[in-house]
Amino acid sequence: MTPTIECRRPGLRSVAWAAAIVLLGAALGLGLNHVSSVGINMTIALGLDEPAQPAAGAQP
Amino acid sequence: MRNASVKAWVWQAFRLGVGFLFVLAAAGKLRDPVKFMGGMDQYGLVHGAILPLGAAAIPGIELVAGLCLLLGWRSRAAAGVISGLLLLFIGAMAAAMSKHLELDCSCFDLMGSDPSAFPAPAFVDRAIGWLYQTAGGAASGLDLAMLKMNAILAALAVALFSLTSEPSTVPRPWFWRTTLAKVLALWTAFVLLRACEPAEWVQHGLRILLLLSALAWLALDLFRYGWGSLRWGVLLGNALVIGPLFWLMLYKLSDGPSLLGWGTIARDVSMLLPALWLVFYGPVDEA
Repeated sequence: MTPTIECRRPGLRSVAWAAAIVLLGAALGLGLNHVSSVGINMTIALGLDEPAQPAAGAQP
Repeated sequence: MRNASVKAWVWQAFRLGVGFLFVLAAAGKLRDPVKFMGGMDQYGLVHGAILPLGAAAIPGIELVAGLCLLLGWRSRAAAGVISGLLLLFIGAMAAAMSKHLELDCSCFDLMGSDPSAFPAPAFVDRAIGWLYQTAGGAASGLDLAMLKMNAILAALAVALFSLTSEPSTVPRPWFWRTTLAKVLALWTAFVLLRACEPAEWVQHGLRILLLLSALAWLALDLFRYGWGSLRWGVLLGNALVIGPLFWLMLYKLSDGPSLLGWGTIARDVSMLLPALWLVFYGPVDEA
């Protein structure tokens, strides 16, 4: 079938699908990074491996 | 009518061209996300938690949007996402230039400086290696890794342009269109497989599965549409003329000298224009 082509402004449906593509892509990227052995180590990159600093004056 | 068929051709060419480039760009970043994060960091625009999260998420967004364009599914929305990303990249490069920074754009890094790192299925590796030995490639001094990379890129380019040169006014089975989608889906699956580096037996099993799927798909299509749907003349013409041109473009983008400053902006704008065209002139039945 030959696609019918005409100029038109993208509607709300296109915007919603675009948002869905961004969310799906971000989830895929983060998921692949998580399972990949060459991925970014988020624990280190986000500083989650550092022990929490005790509040000033707190008892050990 | 002629105008409509030209528009349909342009639509196909833009869709496949931009989609393919974005899948390539995503594959390069997925192969080495840490390097991409370093590249993003050089711009000095993103800090804190957004830097690693963005470096992990952007290749995924590029991959999904690129595949949507290639497969013709929600292509207007995907072109909108790609336009947004390109505007972001252009803005980032402009900001870096305003700070007098000379940065490599970190956009395409599929091969880096090592062509042997180019992702290829093991059976393709073996087949090209066998041809190389048989033809006496070692004695001629040809680089096997470079040869392999060229062969794969040229084959993909030929498949891509065989599709775009299909006369859109003739209702016919979308044989090449579906075949290309399958080839690229398999190739993308392989790139992801290599990038994630799972256990050896998983890689081996998936390779066999991908090969069997490709053969089954091809056999089913030939059974349904017959040999008449294979247009050898167009295929050969594209192989001789458009294939090498497309390869040169890809080679320069992926492994050539780094594009800095205005070069990057000019290239991004040249991809942004077709992407915007797709957003506003995409088929009416596509979101």
